[in-house]
Amino acid sequence: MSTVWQAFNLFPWLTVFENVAFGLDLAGVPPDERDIRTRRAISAVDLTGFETRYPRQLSGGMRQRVGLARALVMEPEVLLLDEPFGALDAQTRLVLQEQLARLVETSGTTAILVTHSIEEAILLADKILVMTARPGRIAATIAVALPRPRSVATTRDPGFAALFDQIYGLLRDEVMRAMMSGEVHSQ
Amino acid sequence: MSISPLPRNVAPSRPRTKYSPLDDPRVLGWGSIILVLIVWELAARLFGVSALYLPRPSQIVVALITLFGSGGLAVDLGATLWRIFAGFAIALVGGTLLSLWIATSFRVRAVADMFIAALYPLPKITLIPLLIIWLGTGGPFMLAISFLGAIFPIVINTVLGVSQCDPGLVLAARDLGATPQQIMRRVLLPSAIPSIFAGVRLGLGVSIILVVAAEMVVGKVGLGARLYLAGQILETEQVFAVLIVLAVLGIIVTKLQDAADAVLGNWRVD
Repeated sequence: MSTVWQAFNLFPWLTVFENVAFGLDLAGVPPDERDIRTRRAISAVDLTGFETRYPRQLSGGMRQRVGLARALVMEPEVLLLDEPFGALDAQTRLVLQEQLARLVETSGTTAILVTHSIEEAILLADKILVMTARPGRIAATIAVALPRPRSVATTRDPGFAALFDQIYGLLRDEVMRAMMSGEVHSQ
Repeated sequence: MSISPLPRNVAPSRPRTKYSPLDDPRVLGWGSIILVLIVWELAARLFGVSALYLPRPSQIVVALITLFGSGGLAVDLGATLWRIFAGFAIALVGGTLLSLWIATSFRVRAVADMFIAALYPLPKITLIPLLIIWLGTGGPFMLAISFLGAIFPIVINTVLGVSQCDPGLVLAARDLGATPQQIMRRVLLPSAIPSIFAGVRLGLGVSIILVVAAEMVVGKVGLGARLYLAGQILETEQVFAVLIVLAVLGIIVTKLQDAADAVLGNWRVD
C-alpha cells in the first residue's frame, strides 16, 4: 500500500526525481531500474522537465502530482489517497481529479480515496462508503454506475444529481444528529 | 501639521535615484574598518602615544609581517587551527550521532537532559585544571578542551532540530517502507541540518575561545601562547598582531559558515 497525503509530505531537501525515487531507493532497487521507473512515473503525472526542481519551487498542484508519482512508482496493490486535493484550489482540483482517474485506470491498482467532496467522490469512485462522524462507522455503501471517462460534463447527468442528493441526505442527517447531541463536528 | 509616528531613520526610504556606494553593506563594513584605522594612525601620531600602550596600525603591520616571516607565527597559527578543528570535528560527528539517539529515545533523552542541564552552563574554562591533571598539557588536552567547547551547542541544537522534524515526513517515509535506521539517516538527519548548522556556528566559536585560552595557560606553541608571551615581555605590537590574526580567523570562519548556509538554503522550507 502507498499513501498520497493531504499535506503532500514531500521531502523538501530532495528534488522531484529524488522524492519519487525515494521508496525504490529504500527498497534497494538497482539504480538502472530505479531510474527508469522513476522517469516513467514522473512522465505519467506530466512532470517531465521538472526532475531537478525542489518541492518549494513547485505549485501546489505540481507538488501533489509529485506525491502521486512517489506513491504510484511503488506499484502498490492499494493506493490510499487521504484527501489528496484538500489543500488545492478548485480549478487545480478538477484537473487533478481527471488525471487521477486516468492514472488509476491505467495502473490497475485499487484506490481508496478519502474526501469531503461529494462531487469528487461521485466523479472518481466505483463504490462510495459514507461514514458517520463519530464513532466513524460505515453508514451506507453506494455503487456508482456512471459511464467512464467522467468529467465536469458528468455533473450534469441526471444520474449524478440523484447520487448527489442521496449522499447529501445521508450526510445531512449525520451532521444534524451530531449537532443535536452537542458534539463538536470535526472535519 | 501632521506628526509622523516614525523617527526619520526608519521612515520609508526615498526613491532610489542613483547607485550610492553607501548602499552596499560590503563598502560600509570594510570602509568603516579602514576609517577607524586611519583615525587611529593619525591620532597616535598627533598625540605621540607611546607604542608600549598603543602601537600605530603601521607598526602592527610591520610586527605582523616580521612574525609571519621569521617569527614562526605561521607555526602557531597552524597549531591552533589543528587543535580547534580536530576537537571540533570529533564533537560534530560524535555530537550528531548522540543527538539522533537522544532525540529518538525517550529514556536516553531523560538521562541526557539531566547531564546537559548540569554541564552546559558550567564554564568549560573551569575544567582546564582538572583536564591538565588527567591529560597533561599536550595534544589530548587540547583536543578535549576543543571537543568540550563544541559538543554542547551541537547536541542541544541538533536534538531540537530532530525533534522539530515534520511528523508527516516520517509517516511518508515509513509508508514508503523505510526502516527506523533509514528514517534516522534519510529523514531526521537531513531535516535537522539547518539546526546542526546553528549548533556548529555556536560550537566553533566556543572551541576557538577555549583553545586560545588553554594555550594562554599552558601552551608553548599556538596563538594563545604567543599572545601571552608577547604581553609578558611588553611587545605590544606583537600582542596586537596576534589579536588581528584571531580577528581575521573569526571573519573567515563566519563567512565560510554564511556561504555554507546559503548553499543549504537551497531546499530550506520557506
